Amino acid sequence: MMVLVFTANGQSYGIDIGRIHEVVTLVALRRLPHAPDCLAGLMDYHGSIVPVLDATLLIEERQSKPLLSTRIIIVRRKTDDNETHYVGLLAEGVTETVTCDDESIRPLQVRVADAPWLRELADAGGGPVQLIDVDSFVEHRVPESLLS
Amino acid sequence: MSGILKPGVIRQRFQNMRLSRMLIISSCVFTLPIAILLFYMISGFNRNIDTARREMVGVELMRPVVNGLRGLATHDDLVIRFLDGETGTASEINAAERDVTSALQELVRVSNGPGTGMMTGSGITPDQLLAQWSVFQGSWRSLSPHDRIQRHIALLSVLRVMIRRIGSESGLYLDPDLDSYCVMDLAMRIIPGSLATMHDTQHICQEAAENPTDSIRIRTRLESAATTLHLTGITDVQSGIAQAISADSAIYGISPILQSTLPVHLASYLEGTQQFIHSLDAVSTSGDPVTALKGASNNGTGAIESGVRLWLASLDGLDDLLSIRVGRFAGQRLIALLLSFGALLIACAMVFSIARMITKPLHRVTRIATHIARGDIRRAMIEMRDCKLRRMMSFDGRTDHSSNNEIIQLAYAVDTMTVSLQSLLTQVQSSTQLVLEATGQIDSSSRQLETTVVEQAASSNQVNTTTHEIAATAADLATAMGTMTMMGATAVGHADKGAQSLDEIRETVHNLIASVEVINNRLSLINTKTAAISEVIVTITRVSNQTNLLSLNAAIEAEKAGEFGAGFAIVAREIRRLADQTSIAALDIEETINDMQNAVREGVEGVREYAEQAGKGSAKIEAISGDISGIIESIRAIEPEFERVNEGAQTQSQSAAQITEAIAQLAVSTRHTKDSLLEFRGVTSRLSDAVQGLQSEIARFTVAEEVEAE
Repeated sequence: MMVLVFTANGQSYGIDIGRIHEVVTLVALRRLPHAPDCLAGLMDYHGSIVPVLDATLLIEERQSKPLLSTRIIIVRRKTDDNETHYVGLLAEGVTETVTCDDESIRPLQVRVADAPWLRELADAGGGPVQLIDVDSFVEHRVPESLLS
Repeated sequence: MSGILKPGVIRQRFQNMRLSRMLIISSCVFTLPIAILLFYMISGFNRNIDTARREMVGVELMRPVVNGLRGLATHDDLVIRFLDGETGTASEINAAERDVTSALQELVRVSNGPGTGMMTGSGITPDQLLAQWSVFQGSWRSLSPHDRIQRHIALLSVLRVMIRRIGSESGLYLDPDLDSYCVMDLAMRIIPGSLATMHDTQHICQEAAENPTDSIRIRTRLESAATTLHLTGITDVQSGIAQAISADSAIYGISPILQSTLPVHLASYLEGTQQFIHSLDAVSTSGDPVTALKGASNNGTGAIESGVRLWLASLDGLDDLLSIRVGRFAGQRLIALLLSFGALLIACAMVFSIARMITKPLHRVTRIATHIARGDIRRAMIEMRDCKLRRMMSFDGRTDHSSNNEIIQLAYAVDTMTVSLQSLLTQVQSSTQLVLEATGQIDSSSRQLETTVVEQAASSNQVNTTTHEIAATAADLATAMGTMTMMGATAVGHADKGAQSLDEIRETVHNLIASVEVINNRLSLINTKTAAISEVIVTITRVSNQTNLLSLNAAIEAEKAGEFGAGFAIVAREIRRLADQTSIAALDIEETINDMQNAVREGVEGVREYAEQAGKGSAKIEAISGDISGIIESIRAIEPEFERVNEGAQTQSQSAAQITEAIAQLAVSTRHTKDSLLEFRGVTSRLSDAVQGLQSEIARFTVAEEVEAE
């Protein structure tokens, strides 16, 4: 499978490309008042408002640095009404995609209560990549009411 | 002893005595004559009283004599009647004898008692008379008529003599007062005289009755007796009594006995006497002379009896007068004593109170003065205040500062003096304190002045030495001037050469700076170019970034396209690789550019430093060149200056000499100042001593803390 890799906490994390709609450059986000820190803001994506979550904050509890390699990953989120909603994930080091062999995908053997979105550990050419479940990652720290 | 009695010593001792003792001595001296006079007055009164008492004793003696005479007369008459054979006379004779005996015994008692010493002396004493009477009493029956009559007459004459003795011994004859003298005369002379005449006349009658033969003689004798009787018995008695009654004045008090009883007895006496006289006259005309004579004799007895009663009454009156006189004198003596002693006591009390009035204020004044002399003004003020309060209380607050009493005036004066002294001392104390402070200040400031003067002298000395040095320096300067002129010329030559070299150096430095400028320009050009290259690099990086992104999205789309997108995925992969390479190359170029830029920077830095140093060197050379020009100029300009310096040095030497002179004068005046300062200090120290002396004098006095508001 092809995985988009980003870095957080000095390690590589990967998202299944199938869930990704597009990667865009870092744009100015409109911040919301009294919103939780993980909600970095709102962006205008092809005429529609898309909320952007800060993946680095969710993983490392640190805000993303505005480097050239810091990009917004637009993912599709499935909701109950079978409509596709886009959510943006602000992450660092979004520069490459890797193809992982199915053999190199190994289950994690541990469960972290605060990180239920951790999936398997894949082995790419450059090192281990932690796969992430997009839905739970998006919905983990963000309440349902926030994302309508 | 003589030493004590010298008049000077006595006067001194008297002056030094206390006032009270002086007053006691004076009052003693006063009292002495008063006491003497009092003594004489009292003794005078006593003498009068004794005289009167003596007279009263005489009267007391007279009474038994009168009774005796009466008794004897009665006895004689009764004996004759007894011898004539009259019955019933024996008991009467015994009674008469008893009367006579008792009268004589009474006489003896009185003469031995109150009348001691009066009846002694020459003559027959009452004891002897009593003895004679006792003899007669027992023996008359056996005597012949002639003897009996002689004895009788002897007894009578003794009694009559006794009357005279009583009168003279008791002082009755010398009675000093008129009223009692009249009565005394009556009782001691007139009445006894008339009674004696009566008795004699009675005897004559009795004798004539015995021998009636010689009638003419009898008649003559009776006539003369009657005349005598008339004279002595009536006229004298009457006039005597009248005189006595009229003389009974109110000097000593009217005697009631005299006034009331005498006239009564006088009336009866006169009656009796008249009767007797008539009967005597009747004898000569009577036919029966014997009977007439006997009747006359009886009348005579009655007359004698009434005479005796009158006599006794007059004696009573005399006694009364005498007792009145005694009472009067005693009363006067008592009054005199009371008045004298009372007056003496009052006088003593007054003297003592006056003495106290004098001594008490004097004591107070003395105490105040002592306090002041000891220096304790405070105590003096307290004394004054206390006494003032008491005085104020006694005067009901009337603060009258004038009084006629000299002592009180003195006290007031002393009070005023104390208050003034108090205020004066307070003022003097404060003033001396101020003066002492002032002298202290003067002293310190004069000392400061002295030190200043000394410093002045020292500094003037210094100035002196300095001027000497200046003079010496000026001389040195003049010699140095000559040398310098020579050296100046040499220096000018050297300086010219130096100026030339400097010009050459300047040129070189200017060229250097110009080349440095060129290098700087080149380097800055390089910098600009590298900056442009950097911009290009940035653009390349951006492009590479965009390409990378593009490749990512392409990869995503390719994945979504599935197998249809395989070729696209390859394209995407290649684009990504291209982007990566580009970015790597860009990075390499950036690194190179950075290195170049660093090198250029360092070069620029080095060149700048070099230029700085060159600039500094050029500036320094400029400065030095300027200095050297200046030196040359100044060296050129020195010569006229040297002349001026020379002149100036000479002037300086002159001035130095003047200064030295002035300094010497200053030193002299400073010495004068120092001398006068010393003198001044001497004066202030003397003043300080004087004031301290005054203060120590005043320190003896303790002044009251607060001052009373008058």
